Amino acid sequence: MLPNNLVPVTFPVSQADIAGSEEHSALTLNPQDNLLVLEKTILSAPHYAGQAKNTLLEENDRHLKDRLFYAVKIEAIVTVLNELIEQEKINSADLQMLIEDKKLQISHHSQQIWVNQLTQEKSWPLFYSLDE
Amino acid sequence: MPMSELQFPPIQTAAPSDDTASDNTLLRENIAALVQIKNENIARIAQGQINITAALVEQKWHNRHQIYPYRVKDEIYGAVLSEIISHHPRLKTEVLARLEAVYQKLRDEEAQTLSRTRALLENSYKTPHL
Repeated sequence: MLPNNLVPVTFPVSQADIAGSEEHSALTLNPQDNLLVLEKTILSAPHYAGQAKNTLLEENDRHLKDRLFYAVKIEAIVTVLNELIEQEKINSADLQMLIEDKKLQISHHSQQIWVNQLTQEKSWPLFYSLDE
Repeated sequence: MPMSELQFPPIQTAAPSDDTASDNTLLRENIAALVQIKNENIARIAQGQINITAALVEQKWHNRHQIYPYRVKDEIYGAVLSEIISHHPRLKTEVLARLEAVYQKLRDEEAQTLSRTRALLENSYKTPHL
């Protein structure tokens, strides 16, 4: 229901960073498997497995997955930016200025975002990459 | 759909902490709510009183409007993070590793509770602001 990774895997995540979350989940199901089991239970399309496909239910599932990914991704970015401020690696006023700057910049391209929703011609996101 | 067809994940029995126990209760409640929403959707569609093609066009239009603010926010906050990384190259690996670790933690949390999934389907989810 959620992709396995957010950051391209070419960036190795240090073991120290993930140790905490692994410890937390060690007693429970593997989250990967867990999400797969849950997906079968709560999404609509698997109900129709073996029957004629229902495009409306598939659209509902797809839309839920897309929104969930954005929700978790935005929460993750906000968490990391707040941590950078707490650690005084960036300054809060500078961050606010940068946000205003990017808001203005992206607002000039809002049409492009809308059009790409219709065409899905380019892959998301359109205006940044964490991958270069 | 009869209750017996519902597949609940097994209860985790390995020495649950209080947190795990309350996560389990929350997960079960959220699954029950999500399955009910799903069944209502399926029932509505299966009644055969709606034109699937017309409903699909309408649904896609509605969904585009609903996801658009998420895309815009992602573009803005992502561009902010990307710019910070480009100005502080020394931070790059650390920031990306931390981003991935936070993502894994949130993903794990979602697998334990499904709280966001439910809030999204009930239209009560709000993305955080900076």
